[in-house]
Amino acid sequence: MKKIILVLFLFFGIGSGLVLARYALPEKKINEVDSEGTTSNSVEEVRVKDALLKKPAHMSIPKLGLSNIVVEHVGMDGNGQMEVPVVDDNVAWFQPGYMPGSRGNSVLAGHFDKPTGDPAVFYRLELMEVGDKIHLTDVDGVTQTYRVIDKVAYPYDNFPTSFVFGKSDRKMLNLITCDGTWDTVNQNYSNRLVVFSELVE
Amino acid sequence: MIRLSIITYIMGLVLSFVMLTGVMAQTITPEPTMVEEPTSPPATGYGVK
Repeated sequence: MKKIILVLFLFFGIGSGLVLARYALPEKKINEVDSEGTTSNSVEEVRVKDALLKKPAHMSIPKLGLSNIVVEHVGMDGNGQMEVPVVDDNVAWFQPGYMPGSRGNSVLAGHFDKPTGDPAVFYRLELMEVGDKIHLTDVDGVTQTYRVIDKVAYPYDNFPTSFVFGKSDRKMLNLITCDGTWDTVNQNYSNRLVVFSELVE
Repeated sequence: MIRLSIITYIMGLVLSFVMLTGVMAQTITPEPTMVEEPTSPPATGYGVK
């Protein structure tokens, strides 16, 4: 009889603990109107946005009219340079780096122009401004929203690789494309434009 | 008996609370394991600006 009572108390304790833990977790809320004019204040939605994405599959930037752009997964070439998307209208996620949604700088790169001279996916990236939104969707259809917080053009020869690709206390998504003037000798643009964005919380 | 019941109850409460908050915290803010950085940025243009 004693054992039964003790077991009952144990289960009662576990149940109470689970209920307490559920309500003790911090409930983060957002209540803002995004660039599409929709309002979001759902705790559940924020938790989904906080969660780590599986590998990113598509990207959308309403400001630039980019919708469901395919995200390729790339690494580094033999010289340690970040590889680029195979298709000029796709973007590429730097897979050896940070996963979107984790604390750190995750990076997407896109072409500025095409071999034909036509504009590529990030031709108009310089139009991005602070507050603009970027949506990233993973293979399961889970979407995260990022907000642009800064835009900087760095010289290619003095590019702050660790700052753009490395550690951060924030959950960053950085977009990179070519900028500046074309160096005919080195066959390279003089600058790289970086748009810094942070996960909306 | 009453004291033992209370102790058992508190043990269950504390254990489940710690376990659930730990699991949930890891789910909400997962930490990356190991990352690499390139030595230079990508070549994202063909020179036809």
